[in-house]
Amino acid sequence: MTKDIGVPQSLSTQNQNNEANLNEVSQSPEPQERISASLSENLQRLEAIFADSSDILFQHWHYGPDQQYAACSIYYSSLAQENTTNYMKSSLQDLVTHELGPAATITPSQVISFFEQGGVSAKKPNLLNDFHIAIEHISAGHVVIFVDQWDKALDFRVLAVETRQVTEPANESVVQGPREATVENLVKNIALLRLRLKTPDFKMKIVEAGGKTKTTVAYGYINGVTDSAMLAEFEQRLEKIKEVDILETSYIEQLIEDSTYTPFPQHRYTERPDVAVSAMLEGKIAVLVQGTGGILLCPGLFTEFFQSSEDYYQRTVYSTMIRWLRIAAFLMALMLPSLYVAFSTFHPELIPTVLLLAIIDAREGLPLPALFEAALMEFFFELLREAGVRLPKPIGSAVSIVGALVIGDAAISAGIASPIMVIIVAATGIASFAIPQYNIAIALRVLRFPLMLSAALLGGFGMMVCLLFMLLHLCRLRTLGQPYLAPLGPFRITGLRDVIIRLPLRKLLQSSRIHPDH
Amino acid sequence: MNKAAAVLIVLVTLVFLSGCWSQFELPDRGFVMGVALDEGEGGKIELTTQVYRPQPAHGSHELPGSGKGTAGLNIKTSDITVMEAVRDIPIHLGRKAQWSHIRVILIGEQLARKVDMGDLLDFFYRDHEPRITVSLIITKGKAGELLKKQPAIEQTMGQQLLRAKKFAASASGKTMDTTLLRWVLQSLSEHSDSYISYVYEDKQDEDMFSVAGLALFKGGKLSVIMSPKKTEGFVMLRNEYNDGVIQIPCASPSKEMETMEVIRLRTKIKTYIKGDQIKVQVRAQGDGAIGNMKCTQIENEEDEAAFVHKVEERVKLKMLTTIHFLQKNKIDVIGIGNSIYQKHPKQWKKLSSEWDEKFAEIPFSVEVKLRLITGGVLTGKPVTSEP
Repeated sequence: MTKDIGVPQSLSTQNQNNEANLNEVSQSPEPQERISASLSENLQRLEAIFADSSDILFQHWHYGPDQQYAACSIYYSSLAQENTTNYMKSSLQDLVTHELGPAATITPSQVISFFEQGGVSAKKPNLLNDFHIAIEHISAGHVVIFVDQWDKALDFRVLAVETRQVTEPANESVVQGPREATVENLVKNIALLRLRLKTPDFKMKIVEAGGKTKTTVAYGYINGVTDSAMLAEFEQRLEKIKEVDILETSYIEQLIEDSTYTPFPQHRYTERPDVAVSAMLEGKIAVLVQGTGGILLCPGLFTEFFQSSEDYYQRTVYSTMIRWLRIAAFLMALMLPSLYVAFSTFHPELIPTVLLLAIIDAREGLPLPALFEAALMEFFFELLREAGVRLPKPIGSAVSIVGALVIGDAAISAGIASPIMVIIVAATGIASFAIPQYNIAIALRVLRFPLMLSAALLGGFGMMVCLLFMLLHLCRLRTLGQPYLAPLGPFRITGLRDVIIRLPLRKLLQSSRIHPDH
Repeated sequence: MNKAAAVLIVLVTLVFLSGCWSQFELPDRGFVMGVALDEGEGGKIELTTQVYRPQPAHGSHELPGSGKGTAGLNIKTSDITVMEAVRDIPIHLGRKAQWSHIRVILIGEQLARKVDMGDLLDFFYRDHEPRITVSLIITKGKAGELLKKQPAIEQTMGQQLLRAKKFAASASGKTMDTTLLRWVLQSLSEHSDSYISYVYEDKQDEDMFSVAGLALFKGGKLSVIMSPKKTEGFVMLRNEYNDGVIQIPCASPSKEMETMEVIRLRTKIKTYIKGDQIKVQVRAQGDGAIGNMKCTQIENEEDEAAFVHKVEERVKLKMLTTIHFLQKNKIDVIGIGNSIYQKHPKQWKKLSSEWDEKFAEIPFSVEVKLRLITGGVLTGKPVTSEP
C-alpha cells in the first residue's frame, strides 16, 4: 500500500490494481479509472461515492430531438450557492451558434466533436476522462456534466463562496504605508502580490497538498534573484506536504523547517503583501495557502526579525534609532528579570549604593527569595497575557487594567512582591511587545525562564554560561541551508547595512539586496 | 537515550550541585554604612558599626523598629583585633555584615596616636569586600560618638560624613579627600609621612560637625593636627587646590576684608641639590575671580595689578605659614623627600636617615602669579558705590 493517508474508502479497492502502474505517467487512465460512455454506469458509481451527503445535487437533463439524449450535472449545492447560470444550457447554446442546425437537433456526436476539438464557447470547460479527477473537482466546487454516449465529462468552475474583504492588517499596522492585508482566498492574495510585482520574472507555482484537505499551496519567487540552490532545497522539502493535511501556512513552516526543537523561528510571517514583495526582492520565497491569510517568507534570518516594514517608509535617522531601540528591547525582554536576580543575590557590590538601599527597602520583610518572586510575577504576567488573547472585546481593556493595577498593587500591599519586581516584570512585558515579529517574541518568553534559573544558581557567571549556550546554538542553526546569524555569524560587513543601522534608501536600493551567504 | 540527552541531563544536574555558590538574599545581610574604631578598655579596640536599617515605604508590612529616627543602626563590639570584633557583629545584629558599600572609616584620635595605622587597618585592606576607595577620617574625641548623631541631610551619618568631606575638599580646600588607597600609597612611599582628613564636632550644635583640617602621621602614628587655615596652604602646595577663597584686608585702619575666589591654582615644586645644600622653589600660577568687594575700586589697569598683587601676597603668606608649621613639626608631607628619591636616588640614600632634621632647615622660596579673570556680573567696584 503506497497511498495510505487520506484515501477515501471506496477507492481503496481500485488502488490495489493500480500498484503495478504507479510509475507510469498515466495519460490514459485504467479502465476502472475512466469515465464510462454509459451515463447510467457513471451515475451508479457516483451515487455510491457521494451517498449520505445531503448537499450533493444530481441534475438530469434531456436534450435533442424529442428530448431523447440524456446528460447529468453533478455539483455541491453548498459550493455553487449563488450561481444561477445553467452550464448545460450555455454549452448547448454555444453549439447552436457555432454549428449548424436548430437547437432541437443536437446529437451527442455533435456535442462530442464540438468539445473535443476545442470549440469556442462562452464558458470554457475542462474535458475530463479520469474518474478520480472528476470526483476531486466536484469536491472542490466544480460542476461536472456527464453526457450519455461520451466517455469524457465537461467540467466548469462554479465556486461562489463568501470570502472576507481586503481590510487593514490586524497585527502589523503601520503609521504610514499601505494598509492592505491578505485574505483567505488564494487567488485574491496572488493578485495582491502580482499587482506589486508586474514582471514575468515573478514566478508563482501551485502545488496540491495531500490528505483529505487537498489544500492548494502556492509559492512564489523572483527568477534570477532567488538563489537557485536554495530554491531546489525548498522544493525538495515541499514534497513532504504531498501526503499531509495542510490547514495553515504554519503547518508548512513546521514541516520544512531545519530545526524543530529550537525556540527560534526560522521563517518569517506576514499578512501584508508589500512586506512579502520586499522580501521576495531580497531573494526570499513566499508561500501562500488557500484558506488562510498568512504569507510565509523563507528563509528568515535572525537579524530580519528586528525589521518592520515601517523602517523603510520612514527616514534614515529615525529608523536607525528605532532599530537600536528594538535591539535594546530584545535584550531587556530576555535578561532583565535574570539580571535582577543575579545582582541582588550574588553581586550586590555591583549595584550603586543609593539604588541598593532602595532595593533593600523594598525587599525587607518579603517571604519569597528573589528567584521565586521573579518566577511568580512572570508567571502571573504570562497568565494575564494568555487570558487577554481570548477575551471578548468589551472585557478586554478592563482585564488589562484589573490585571496590571490590582494584581500588581495588591501583591505589593500584601507583601508578596516588591515594587521593584513589578516594575521589572512590566518593563520586560512592554519590551517584548516592541519587537515587530510575534514569533521571535514568543521565543523570548520561552528563553527567559532557563536564564532566570541559571542566574539564580550561579549568578552572573551562570547567566553568562546560559547566554553562551544560546549563542552557540544560534551559530549552529541553519535555515534552508543558510546560516541563521548571517551577516553577523559569518561576518559580512556589507550585509550589516540593514542590521544595526538602516542605510539611506538610496544606497539600499542601488546595490544588490541579497545577503551574501556561505 | 541518545548521547545528547545524556550529556544535557548530566550538565543540568551538575549545575544544581554547585550549592548556589555565594548566593544570599538581600535581607540576610546588614549593609554597613560606616565604621568607627576607638580605644576601648584594657587596650582593646572598640568597633562601632553603622548598619543600614531598611525602611519599607509601602503600607502594611512596616517593621516594628522602623519608627525610630534615622536609617542607621549602631552596633558596638569590642575585642583585641579588628577581625574578631567584626565577627562579633552578627551576635548583636542577627545578620552578617556586608562591607561592600561602606562609606567611611572613622578612627578616634586617641587610638590613632597609640596604634600604628597599618596594623589597625590591615583587615580593611585584606578582606575582599571593603573597597579600597572608602574614605578615612580621624575624629577629635571618640569616633563612635560621631556615628550616633543625626545626619543633617543625608540618610545615614556615614553618608553625611563622606559627602561633607568630599565637598569640603573640592569646594573650599580646607581638607583633602583621603581614602584607604591614598593613605597606603603615601605610607608605602620612601618617606612615609602621611595625612588623613580630620573631623571635629561643632561646639554649639550637637548634631553638626566640620570636616576640616588634616591629621598628620609620622611612622604610622598620629603626630599633629593641622588647622583648616594651614591646610589651605598645604593643599596649594600639593597642587590639589580646586577652588577656594582668599581674604584680603582692606587698607588699614579699616578691619574689613575683601575676598577673591581662586578658581585655578597650579603649583610646581622644584628641588635643587648642590652638595649638601637643598633648596626648594615653589611656583604657583592661577586664575581668580572677585568674590566680595568692599573698599577697592578697580578702574584701570594699575588698580587691577595692585589688587592682584595683594592677593598674591596673601597666597604666598599662606603657603609660607604652612611650610613653617610643617618644618617646625618636622613632618614632610609635601613630598620633598619622595621627589628627591625619584630624581636623585643616590643622594637620597645619604639623606634619608636624617631627613626630618634636614627638612626642617630647607629654605623655601615661593612665587605666586595670579590673573584676575572676572568680577562676576558686576564691574570691579562694590555694588553700592557711586558710579
